[in-house]
Amino acid sequence: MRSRLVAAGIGLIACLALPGFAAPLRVAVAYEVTNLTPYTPGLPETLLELVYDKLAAPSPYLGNAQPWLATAIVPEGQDGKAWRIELRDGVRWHDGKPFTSSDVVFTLRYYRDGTPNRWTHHVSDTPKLTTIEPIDRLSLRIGCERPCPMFDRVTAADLVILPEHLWRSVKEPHLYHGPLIGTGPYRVSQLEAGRFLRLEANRDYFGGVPRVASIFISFIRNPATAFAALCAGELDLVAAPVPPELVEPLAHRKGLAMTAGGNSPVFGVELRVNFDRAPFSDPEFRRALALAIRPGEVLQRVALGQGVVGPFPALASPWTKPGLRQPSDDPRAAAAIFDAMGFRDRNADGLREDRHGAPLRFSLKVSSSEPLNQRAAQVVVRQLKAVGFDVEVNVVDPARSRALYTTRQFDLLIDDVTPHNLADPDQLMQSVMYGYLWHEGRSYPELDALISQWRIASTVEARTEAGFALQELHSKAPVAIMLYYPKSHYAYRPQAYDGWRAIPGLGVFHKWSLLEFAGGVPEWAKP
Amino acid sequence: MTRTSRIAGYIVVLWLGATANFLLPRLLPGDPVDFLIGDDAGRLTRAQRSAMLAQFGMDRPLIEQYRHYMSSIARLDLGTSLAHGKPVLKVIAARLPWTLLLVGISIILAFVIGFILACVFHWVERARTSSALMCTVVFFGSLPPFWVGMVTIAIFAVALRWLPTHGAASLEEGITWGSVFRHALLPVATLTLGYIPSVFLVARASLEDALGEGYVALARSHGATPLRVLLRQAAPIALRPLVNQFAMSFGVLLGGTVIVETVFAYPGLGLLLYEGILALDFPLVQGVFLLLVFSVVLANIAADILQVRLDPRLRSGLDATA
Repeated sequence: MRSRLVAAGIGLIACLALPGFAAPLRVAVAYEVTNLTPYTPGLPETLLELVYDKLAAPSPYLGNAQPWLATAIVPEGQDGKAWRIELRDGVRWHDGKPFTSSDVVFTLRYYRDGTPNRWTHHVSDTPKLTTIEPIDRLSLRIGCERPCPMFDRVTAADLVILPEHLWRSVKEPHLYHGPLIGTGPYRVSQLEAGRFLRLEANRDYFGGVPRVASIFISFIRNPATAFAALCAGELDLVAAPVPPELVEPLAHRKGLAMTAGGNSPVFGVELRVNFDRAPFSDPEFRRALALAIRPGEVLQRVALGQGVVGPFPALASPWTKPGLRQPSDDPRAAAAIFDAMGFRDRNADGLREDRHGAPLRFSLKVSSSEPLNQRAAQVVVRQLKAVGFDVEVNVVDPARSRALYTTRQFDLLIDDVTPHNLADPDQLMQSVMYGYLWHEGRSYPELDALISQWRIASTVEARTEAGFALQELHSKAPVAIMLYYPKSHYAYRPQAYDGWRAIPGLGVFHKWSLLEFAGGVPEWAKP
Repeated sequence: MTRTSRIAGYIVVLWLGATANFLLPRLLPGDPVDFLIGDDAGRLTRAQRSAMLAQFGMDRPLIEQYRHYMSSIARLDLGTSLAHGKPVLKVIAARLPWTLLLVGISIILAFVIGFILACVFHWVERARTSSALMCTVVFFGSLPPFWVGMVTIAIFAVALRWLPTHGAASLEEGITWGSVFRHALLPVATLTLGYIPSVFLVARASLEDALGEGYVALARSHGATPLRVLLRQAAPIALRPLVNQFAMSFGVLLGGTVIVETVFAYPGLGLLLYEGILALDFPLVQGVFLLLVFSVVLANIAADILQVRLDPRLRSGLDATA
């Protein structure tokens, strides 16, 4: 909402903050934490991973995942379908029980066969694990239905491991309210729904002793309030990006410091096109639409130039084809294509009509909780008007926006797109199969051929190449037109804690910012 | 209206409220699975989606869901919150005291201040002063609560550092009287400021009516001072219409807490409702709305009873029709 931004400005004008010191560390997140399990809706992975661990770290996004709870994840055989996983010895759950291969076996089977969550498709679909068998106390073997050459870098780096002794009898995981026990660097000390989450350092953590003993996490949905609280000295970090217009004022505020969220943005804002509806179902129309968009102008006007423009998916990701380009910035070429398709201005009113003289009017949905996206919508509407389209912006509440998208009741929609969709190579297959970039059952022979090629690829190189081909096909007639990749800035109080490390796709509030690494800091975790 | 028909009326209102409450979330496109699974909800098979909805009883035909919903209400079972994974009644019970604190104090303050201002309006005989007072009150009342909240945060929390910006109690101190009081001040001020004008306008009008009554003229003719006439003769009579206003204000202010609690990250029912709507958490949204409907109806019943107690003419009217 625009009023939020105005209010944020007012908050800052009055911000006369003097530095303060506080222990425990006080952090605000922009959502309410109602529980802390992989089945808790909307919970970001970074918060989850303060308490739980994955087999590999830090993430699937930059191709740099290394064994973490595992000591080795090695392929078996030549077909890329089997892996052997060796686990760390001496790791304990927060309740003191030893961590063993039976926990990993249980978790992978539970995700594969049980109730789905945001992560489970990594074992139930892409890839689909067919065998998950323990070998001994600290090793196990998995097998995939089709080649899964990315298991060590993607699957293993995506799924948090649950304690079997607590989850074995849980039939409805969304309703789980047992102890929140992980192996991670922080233990849940107190969770008061609606108010706060308190985490205490796990001093026996295998990855090193956490540098902050205790963290209070407040839930503040309204960004203006969160940044006002930071200015007032009530918080030490707001774990949400600073709105572009506040970057300069906050950077120069006494007692505050700013860090950029990595130089490789893997988070973006896109214009989604409903390829199930005419005329967007026509690839030529989608290409012309992309040509009519000038992402550079959107970046300048919305994000004040703080960020970069680029294609879908993120250029910063090693899983994206180098040199991939998205058609854009050529309204003249767009107009020529529309003319050739028969969409012309027949009554000289400045707007195009179809062959039957019916005016082309579209709606552009945008969420009421995303003020920057509303601004982007205004710029896009103007750009599309310049090529003769009458587009109306519909601001809808976030739940409705999500529901309209899922039920395909939209023409155009502007939304954020997360690293999961932009930089996860296995997710790309999910995206073309299940509705984000395309969906099963809708004819697209060229795509079907590439999907088959992707599925049989049994090496990382072959799989990556197959992914490149899918990306290239998409960029010819995009259904996700990237508007821009914002550069995220995070504001904090250095007197309270100054060890924040920006990692692309993870921001700054994650366990890698809070660890005194045992055995040296890995390259990817260096500031 | 007879007592029986009045009770029947209340029952119909409750039934209509409960039914609308059931239907409204279901008229929205999509379902809560989209929230539970997030971006990947589209890849669920029909069977997987049904299995997830079945956990919350949402896979059944609408009429069956409705029957279950009504019978559950009768048993005071409001279902399980999707986002919290706990019984709705339990979730609401944890948040209700915070909202009652805000709303209770705000109603009392708004009525006291609004009524005093109305008395001042009539006591000050200069037209210019009265108009200035009226304009000031209406001006403050017309300010958007969101904006008022942010301005109070900017001034009293950020600039002056007198009060906290958010929450219901200090995280470090825990829930102490002092901490709760400090955290409630700005939200209460924002809610109160927004509600004073409607109390003021009703009180001003009813005082005007009361001041035109014959017994007031009689008191004046006996030499009573204007202030005495206002406070002793007109004010008690003028309070009666405010009883209804008081009952109505409960629902209005409970609704108003959605914005104020979101601004101040105050963990009450308003914020809970907002989060529930974002999550399409049907059982939770239904539970909170149902509570609103019941509380407004109950407040109206209380107002009716109080009106009859305050004005014996109404009692005789009731008896006559009974």
